[in-house]
This record gives sequence, structure tokens and C-alpha cells, in this order.
Amino acid sequence: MALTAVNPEILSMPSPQALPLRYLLAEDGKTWKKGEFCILTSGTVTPLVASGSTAVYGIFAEDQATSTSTSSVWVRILQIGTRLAMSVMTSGTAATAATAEIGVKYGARGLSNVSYLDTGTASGQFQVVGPLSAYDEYSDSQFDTDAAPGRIIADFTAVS
Amino acid sequence: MATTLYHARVGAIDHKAYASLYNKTFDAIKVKSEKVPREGARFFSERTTNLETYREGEVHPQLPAPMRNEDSDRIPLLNPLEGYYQTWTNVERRSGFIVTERAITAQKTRAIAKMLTGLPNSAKRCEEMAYAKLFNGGFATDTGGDGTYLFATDHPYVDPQYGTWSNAAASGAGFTSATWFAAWLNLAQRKDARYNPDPMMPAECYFPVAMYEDVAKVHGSPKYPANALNAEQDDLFHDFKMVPGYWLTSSTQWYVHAKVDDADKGLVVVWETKPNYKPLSDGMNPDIIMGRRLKMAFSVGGLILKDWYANIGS
Repeated sequence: MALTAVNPEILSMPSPQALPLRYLLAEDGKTWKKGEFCILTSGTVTPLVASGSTAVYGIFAEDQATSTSTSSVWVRILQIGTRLAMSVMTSGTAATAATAEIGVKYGARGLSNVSYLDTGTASGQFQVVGPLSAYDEYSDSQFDTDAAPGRIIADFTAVS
Repeated sequence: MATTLYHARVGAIDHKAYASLYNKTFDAIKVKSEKVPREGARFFSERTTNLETYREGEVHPQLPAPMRNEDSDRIPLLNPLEGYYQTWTNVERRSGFIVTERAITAQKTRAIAKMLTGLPNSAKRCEEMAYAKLFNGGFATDTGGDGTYLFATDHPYVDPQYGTWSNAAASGAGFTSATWFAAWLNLAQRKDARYNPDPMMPAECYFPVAMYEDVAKVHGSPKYPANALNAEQDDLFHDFKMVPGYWLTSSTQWYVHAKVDDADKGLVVVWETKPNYKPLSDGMNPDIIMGRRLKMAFSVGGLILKDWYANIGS
């Protein structure tokens, strides 16, 4: 099943238990939806790119439906230790959530309003804690969270 | 050979427009009764507004199941889901009539006053046609808050990771015990915004009168499927109300409505102005002695028709 608009879910983070909201300058000519990852480029925030990135900075807190110039946007800044439930893909293809990924660090990727953990990247900011199915086995039995697109829990380990 | 009637349709009701009422050769003229089958309102949840547009959205309280998590581990935090919304724009509609003095005084047969009861009935009829339009156009014209047709096989779940759900038969078919069970099963297997079971039970079947026999057979049949070789039919097959639709334009499309509270109805009627009547007169012409103006402003629409299942028929 192709994913549409499935973004990471923040599960927890170091105290205080809410990501700080910050009003930041956004890159011209881009659009995004709330919940997507953003990266920081030359002082402006911009949506996570399809080619993947190891420089995820935060999560857009509001939509930008039409591209504008010189606008600012509210962003939730990811903190080291933030724990997320994320969908998994490998270089653009939805992938299963495998136990072998536990402990490995990967980057993320953005495709048409969807932000994923990309197991096709050699390194990154997100360290896999485990498949979501290991922590929520009852839901997994109802709706297979391991199968492609699988879902894993990951910790954000490094600020870009 | 048929006799064709020609009508004046001149606006004012005067003594020339209805010659038969003023003709001494008639012994009697009957004012025929007027029926407005009332059937659609039962399916709609009513809203009122003083504004031209009305926007309604949904939020869903369902949360994921609690995860394995103990003691000193950080507690997973959850978010309920924001749902779809829809905006409806009210349309104001007016009509009226005026009557001249001579139209009243010169009558041989006093029928003019009785003929004017058609005005409130026209308002009721307008309402019914608006209700029916959503059923008639629900497969290929009218859309809901999720952007799909009101009756579709590809409604996206609020949480898109669960894919799509259907409130329409994948292929059209008539009303039989088998297709009725497919409808029953579709409603019984409904999922909520987080893909948890959200079973619904059919309460009413809304169908064109042309299908009355088909529906009545299943409604009353003790067998499933309806042939002599099969088992006794469960009571669930009888547990619905037949609602024949006189305003439905298709003779094959049928619809099943689930038992839901008013708040969970997907179809909405928004009233800005309920039908009201005011006198019409002409200050420059005292011979226009009476008149009535009808005004109503409303809209109908569907947000998410989770409480419906439809079959386009065969």
C-alpha cells in the first residue's frame, strides 16, 4: 500500500515533554503540510527532500499550501532524545520493519508530503529502537505494522 | 385524439387566466388534492445558521492502544485525529403569487383560494428534491468532505496509513438476500478513524418504488438466499425498515442507512431561513388585492457518509 501523508508521530522527548515551537524564516517557493520534517538550509527552513537528508531540524507546525516569498513559519524543533514512531522505506520503496534495524542509525526522506525513515541511507540522525510491533503487539495483530510500509520506533540522536 | 391544453402563465391570477372558473356552463369544478411525499428529512441532521455559509468539521477521539512501557521509561504521548470538513453555501429561493379583485368577485366556482395552497407545498417539494439530489448524484456528482463521491469505494481513512474504506458496492446489483447481506456486512465491518472495529447495523433501506417487490421479498423471506434449498434466514434480515423513495430518479440505485445518533449522520441540511410567507401588494394598483411571497434559504450536503451503504444497482 502506498503511503499518503503519513508523517512521523512524536511519542516522547526529554523534559519538558513538548517540542519547542519556533517562528523561523521559510525558503521561498516551497509548499508543505503540517507534520512533515523540515531541514535547515542557509538560515531558512524547507521541506525534507526526496533524495534524503541527514540534517533534519524539526517538524512543520502549520501548512504552507501555496508557495510564497519571504514568509516565516512555526516549526517544532527536534530535541536530542525525541522518540518517534515512523514509517520505513528503503530508497523510496516502502519497506518492512525488521528487527535487524535495531540500533542502526538512518537518515530520513520526504516524498510528496510524506516523511519516512530511510533504511537506504548509510547513516543519519535516527537510531532505530525497534519495530512498533514489539511495543504494540495487539495493534500489530489487527493491522500488520511490520509489513511494508512497516513502522518502527526511533530516537532522534543528533541536531544538524 | 388527445386534447392539448394551453396555459396562460401570465404571473397575475386574474379572471382571464382561468376561464373555466368564470364560465356559467360548468356545474362544478373540483380542486384536485396535492400530495408531497415526505421522505428525505429522516436521513438528514438539521443545522441552523444566520450566515450564508456553514462549515462543519470533525475530530476523532480514538487513540492508539497503549504500548509496552514501564517505570522509568518516558510515557508515550498520543494525539487524537483531526478529521475532514465541508462548507455548504445556502441558496435563497423565493416565489409568490398575486390575485386581482375581479378574479375573486367574478368567480362562478369559488376555487381560487383553494388553489393557492400550492405555495407551501412547493416549498416542501423543493426540500424533498434537494434531499433526493444527494442520493441521485451521490455516485458521480456530489462529493463529501474527503473529496470523494458521497457513495464511493475509495474513501480515505482519516489516518491515511490505513488506506481506504467503502460505502458503495464494488459492482452494481439488484436487491437480493445476497446483496442485502453484502450491505449488512459492509456496515458491520466498518472501522473507525484508527482502523478499530466500528460496527454499524442497518436501520432502513431507501429504494426507488420500482424495487418495492424485490425489497419486500427479501424483507419477508424466511430463506437465505431466497430459494427453497437453503437454510432458515436469520432475523437480522428482517430487522430493517423499508423506505420507498418517490423522489429518487434512478429505478435501480438503493441505499442502506445505519442506526446512528443524530450527531453521527453524514447528511446535513442547513437552514438559514425556513419557509416563510409575507403579503404581496401593489401600492399603485388597488385591484391587486392579495398576494403571498414564499422565501426559504437552505443547503444540503454530505460530510462523510459513514452511516450509509449504497448500491448503484443493475
